[in-house]
Amino acid sequence: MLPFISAMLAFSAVALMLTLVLSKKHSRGIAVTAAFLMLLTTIAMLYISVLAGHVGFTESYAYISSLMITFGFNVGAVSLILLLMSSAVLLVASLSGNPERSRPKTSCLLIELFQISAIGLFSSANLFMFFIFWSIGVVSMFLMINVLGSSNRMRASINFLIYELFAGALILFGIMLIYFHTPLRSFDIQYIISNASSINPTTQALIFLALFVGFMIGMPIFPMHLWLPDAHAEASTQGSMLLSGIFTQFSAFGMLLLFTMLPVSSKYAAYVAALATVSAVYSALVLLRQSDIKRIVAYSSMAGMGIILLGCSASSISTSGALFAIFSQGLTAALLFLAAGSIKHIFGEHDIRLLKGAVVDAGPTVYAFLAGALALVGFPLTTGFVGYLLIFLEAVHAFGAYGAVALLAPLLVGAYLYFTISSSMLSSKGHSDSVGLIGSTQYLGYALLLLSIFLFGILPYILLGLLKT
Amino acid sequence: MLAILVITPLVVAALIAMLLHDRRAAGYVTLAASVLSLLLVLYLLVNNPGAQSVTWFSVSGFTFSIDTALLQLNTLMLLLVAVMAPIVLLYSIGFMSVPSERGRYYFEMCILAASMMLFSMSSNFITLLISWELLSLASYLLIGFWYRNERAQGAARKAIAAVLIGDLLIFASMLLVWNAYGSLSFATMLQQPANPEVAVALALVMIAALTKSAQFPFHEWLPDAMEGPMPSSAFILSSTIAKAGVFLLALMLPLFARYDLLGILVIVGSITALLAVSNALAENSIKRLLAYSTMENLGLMVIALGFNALLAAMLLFVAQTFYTALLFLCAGAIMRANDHEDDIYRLHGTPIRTPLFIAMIIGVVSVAGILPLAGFFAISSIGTAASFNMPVYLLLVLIGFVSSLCMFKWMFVPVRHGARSEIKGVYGALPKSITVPIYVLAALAVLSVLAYMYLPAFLGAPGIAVHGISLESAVLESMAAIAGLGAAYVLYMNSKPYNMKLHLRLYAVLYNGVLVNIFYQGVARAVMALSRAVCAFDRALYSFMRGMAGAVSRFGSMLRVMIDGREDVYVSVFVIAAIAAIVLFVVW
Amino acid sequence: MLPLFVALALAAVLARSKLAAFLLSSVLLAAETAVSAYLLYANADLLLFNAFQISGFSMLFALLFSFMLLLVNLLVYKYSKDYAEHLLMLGFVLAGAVMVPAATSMLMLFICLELIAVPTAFMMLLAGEHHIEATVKFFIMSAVAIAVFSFALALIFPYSAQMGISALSANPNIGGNALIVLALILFVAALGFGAELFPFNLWVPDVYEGAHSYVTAMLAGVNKTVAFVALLEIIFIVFAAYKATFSSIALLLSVATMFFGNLVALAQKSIKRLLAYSSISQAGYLLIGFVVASPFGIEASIFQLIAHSFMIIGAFAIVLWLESRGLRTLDDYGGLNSRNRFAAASLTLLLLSMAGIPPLMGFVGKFLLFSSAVDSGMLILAALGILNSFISVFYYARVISAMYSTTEHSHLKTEPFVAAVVVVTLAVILVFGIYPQPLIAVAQLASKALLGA
Repeated sequence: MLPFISAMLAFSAVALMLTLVLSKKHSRGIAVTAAFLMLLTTIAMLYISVLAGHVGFTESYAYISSLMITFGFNVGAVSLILLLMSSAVLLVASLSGNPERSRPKTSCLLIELFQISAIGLFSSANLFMFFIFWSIGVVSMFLMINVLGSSNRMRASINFLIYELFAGALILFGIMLIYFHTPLRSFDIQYIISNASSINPTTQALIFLALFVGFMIGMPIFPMHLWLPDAHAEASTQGSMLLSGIFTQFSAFGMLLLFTMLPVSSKYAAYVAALATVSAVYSALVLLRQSDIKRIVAYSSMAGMGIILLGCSASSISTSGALFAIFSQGLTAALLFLAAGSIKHIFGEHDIRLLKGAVVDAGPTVYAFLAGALALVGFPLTTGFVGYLLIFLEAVHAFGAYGAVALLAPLLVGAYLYFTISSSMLSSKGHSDSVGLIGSTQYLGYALLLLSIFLFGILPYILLGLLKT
Repeated sequence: MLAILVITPLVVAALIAMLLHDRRAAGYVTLAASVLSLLLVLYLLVNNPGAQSVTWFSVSGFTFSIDTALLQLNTLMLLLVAVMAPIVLLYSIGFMSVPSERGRYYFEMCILAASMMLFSMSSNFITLLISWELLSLASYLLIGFWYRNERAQGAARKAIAAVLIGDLLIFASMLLVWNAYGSLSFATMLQQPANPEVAVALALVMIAALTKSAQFPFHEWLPDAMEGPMPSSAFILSSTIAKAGVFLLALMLPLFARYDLLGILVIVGSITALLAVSNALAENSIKRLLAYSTMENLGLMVIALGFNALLAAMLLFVAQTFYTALLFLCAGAIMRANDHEDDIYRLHGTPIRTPLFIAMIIGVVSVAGILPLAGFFAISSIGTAASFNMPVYLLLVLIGFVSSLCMFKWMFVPVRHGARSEIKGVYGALPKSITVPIYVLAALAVLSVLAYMYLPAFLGAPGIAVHGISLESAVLESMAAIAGLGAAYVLYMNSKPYNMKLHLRLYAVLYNGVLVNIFYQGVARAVMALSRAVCAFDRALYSFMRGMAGAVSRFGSMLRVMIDGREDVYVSVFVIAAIAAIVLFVVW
Repeated sequence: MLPLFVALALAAVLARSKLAAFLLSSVLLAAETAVSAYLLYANADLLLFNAFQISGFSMLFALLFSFMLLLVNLLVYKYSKDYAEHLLMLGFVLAGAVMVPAATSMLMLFICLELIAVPTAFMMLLAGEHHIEATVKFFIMSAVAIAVFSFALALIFPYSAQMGISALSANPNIGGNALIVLALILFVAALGFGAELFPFNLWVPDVYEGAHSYVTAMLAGVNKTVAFVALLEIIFIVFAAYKATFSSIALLLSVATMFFGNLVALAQKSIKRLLAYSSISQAGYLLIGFVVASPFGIEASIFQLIAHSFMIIGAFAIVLWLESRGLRTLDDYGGLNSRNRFAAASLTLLLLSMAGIPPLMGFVGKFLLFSSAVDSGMLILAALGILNSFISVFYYARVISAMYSTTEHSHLKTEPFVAAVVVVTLAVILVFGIYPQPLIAVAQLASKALLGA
């Protein structure tokens, strides 16, 4: 079995070094190549898995033997799907550039650093690795907002850093507790899944609380969501794409892991579902008063995260639904932020009320935005539909009619997005006021993301079939 | 799989249209595809493959599939759509002469046609949901097609507001049915024992159907839907979106009967029809009048379904498809010839001795329900079905009278003085692609009388009540219709036609569903108020967090100030701490 | 062998040119480092002259100290005015530092501590007149500390005439005696001065800020580590019987130090004071290993000691360089990235390491410390440690943000000596951050040697 994961990490690290050393002319090419290679590798892994009928890539190297921590990777179906999503988003992010501020070397460096953290986190076989790559992701995201963002980025990036590091502190605490309370003292995820029931219930509850609040901050879920809108409003296009497309999915993935690992989580399922519903509807309500295009997308994706949490809390098909929804959310959010960023670049304006008639000058972008909005609220033929279908079916089954309350979120978000797109971008306009152009790379980005969203929306069994095993 | 094949030509055409962008070929390709679909449908008529199921995906042992069935109702609807699509598309080729909009238009029309066909074949919730939401999207896109027109976008928003609720309701009812039976197919609902959850689910489905078919209180979007391009409005109102709701009701009728939900339909249908005709009385726009007439017809269908008179409803269903489309296309031609003038009082006159005029007459007579055209049979059988319910019956007669009045107004006002010669020339110069569909539809409208003879056999499963037409209702309806014709002639067929707009008070009473508007605005305001409250809370939370961070900071500053720079303090603290530690640990 | 090198350092002083002195001293220090490394690797365990214990523990720290002083030598060479005098002082410090972990008697320990404190004060004075205030403060405080130390020595005198460390621990009477607890507390107070534990560390910000930065670097990297090493020896060998008592004392001290350091750092505008308080908080974390008192805890503390020394010397090297260009406060550091990429990037990495961000060495050290706390069931201590780590991010992030803000200033040229020091420290924290296993193994070795002896 070829060491795919180490290979991916290796060439990402090489890309990082090369970008550091070579001039800024080559930065973008290196970043795109690295992301493209990652995509190819992931597709190769997918292909092999489909042929073999099951997914299992494991690699392990000795690391800190005194604590029995290995530098280990274990890619199962879940990880593979998320790696696929990450590589698509990374490719589009590095390809579509940064129309607002071109500092190619810095942005490519940070993208590659982020690529390393994404690969490492999704394939991690033990929680120590998970935490390390998570922290690397936090730092690269922080630097991305801080260095490459817009006017108010200081406050937004420090806010972000504080929330995320607080989350990290909680996660670290939880991880350490797990380590010392499992019989064999291991961070290994597979081991924990099979042995977690031996941890005594009070400790389990404490672990659950620590990890839950930590991941909750990262997703984000009300009431720990305050960092998200500012972070998005100030980040660059690439920053937002990576933030909502991959970084928040780190925490969602962690949440999935949490519910899989700890048997005590099922005790709290109802409370978690309630919190998820509240968060989703809350963000939908706050959305109704937003007019900055990036905040609109930020709150919409937060609503989606609430529904993903709802999916995590129930079990059986909704876990698969949550996974698929995470996959969908990553691609959709990336698409929406790419479109939003392009609009900002073309019109120099990010207040949606001032974007009347945008469709005349930026047709493809506006329609890409519309398509992304549709995917976000679970329109059929998109990946969002499959995810929401599975999540809500099980939610109603598990929690009765209350499971369906969260439907208010897609309703409000959908209504708002339809309305806003119609009243601003798709309406009439007196004169042309575009101030910038976007290039073919942006269109390629739209095409790639839309293709993935619709391909896996129409043929979801490609990915869901992997989960059977 | 075979059933799904029917929509493949349209899907392919959609993609091609997008690529062809603004060339004429886009229209031709789409037309060809729709003809191909029609042929496939005809083939399916003969070789009915029955129920089919295509597995979509499976998770944890549960399989989700796209189920289609070609029962009688399904086949009927499919046939109607397949026949209407080429007609409307042919008309579009002539009507949509602005090149830059072509690709988008044909793409959206293909989506509409394809999803409607898929909808007509659906036999489980998944298929229903997919096609339902696609129809909503199509309505949003097509109604708001002319985006340079502010009113069009407003209309699109109204439409999507109504149908989006329907989408969510169907989704919710799907969840309930799954919870009850663990299966999503319609057949299970019929076969399994009754379940209170399913009653709720069916109520939700009913409300969703009502949103699509513009019944009260979701009727606001229909008149405004006329802002879209004329052929697409014709398609929407005659055979796709507006009919989708009624069709769903018809499909689920046995279930509604089982759970005793039919009474609602009668009430809602009556109110809708009443609202429709009262607004039509005050309406002057050539397009909106027709829209109200359609709304009234839909209301009648709903009433019929409410009385479990499937046959009566389907008679009107079939007839209305043809004559509504016919009238819309005629209106389009008239507007074309009159510089897109919308107000019937300002049209320059319709040429009297032309085939177009004959088509108009056929259409109007059908709508009014006058013998010997199909409308008469349909409306009379609905009357018969309602005959045991006196209030509704009388209401039907009244509505018949007013509707006839309005439709003849529609015809007489433009016609009251003959066309000027230059207009005659314009009418003569209308392209074939516009006139041919009109003639075809006129023929179909006439032929649809045959439905009265063949439909019972076609639908003929046992248990469908075959309502004959009672003599009493036939006479009453005819009288109402002819009275309407007479009144219209008196009021409108003279040089100073009665214009209700000038009688403001009467107009104001009739023209607007005031209460409904208030209701909607109330809901919207309540939601926005809630949103404002939530935002305020959000801001408060934000300040709270920052305050906490600030407190920590200030504590640090406080500590700092206490000890800054003084060496004597340092030494003293050293000694005091040592002593304190000693006391603490040694003595204690 | 070790004092021999001191003598040779003295000889270096007599050398003619400054450059020659520098090169000679560097070579000697490098040799010292190499020899210690070799002895460590060879797992030597012998008693030299009946006075110096050569073990894994002492060799590890000898290696560390000589390497640290090698780096400091670079800084001193570049920035000091009277290099020869400084070199002499460095030689004394080296001797004292290297002998502390190898000491076999308390008296030796005492002498070595003085041997370190006085030259340090003198170095501060040599730097210039405006450093007098810091010198005086430092000298007074160290005088008090040493006085306390000698008093404590007097208290334990009855238990071993030669004041031998192992002899003292072997003496059965040493347990359960209130006077000995008194002595313990006094030792802790005295060494707490050097180790920067609250409330014995109030001098730290003033002295760190007041002294010239190369002295500060040495204070933070070497003097502090020496104090901790001494504490390790005294607590875990001499007072091994009083583990429980010491644990409680250390718990209070650790928590107080961590909070004090982090909270006051939040209010700092001067970079040197900020780093001073940061250093204080690091002392708090280090003490966690002492609270836990298990072998795992001691390993963790040793690892973090090494990490901390490197980090702080690297940081103060940069501060030294920027100070010579007039950059002192947070505002001055604004836009540093546009002036010198290297400075901003390296300082960022060092600060992130201090904050405990993976994959840097600071994270591994803190992780080991907090894990040892959880391991011994002290969940609250671990939680407080993690909380403090989180609080520290506030002020580190402030510095990093300032550096990357876009205020345009003139370009700063990179100073090669400083760059050398910084690159070395960065290499260490990166390499052992990503692959810490070798160092953990060495720490384990040292801890075993400590407890075994």
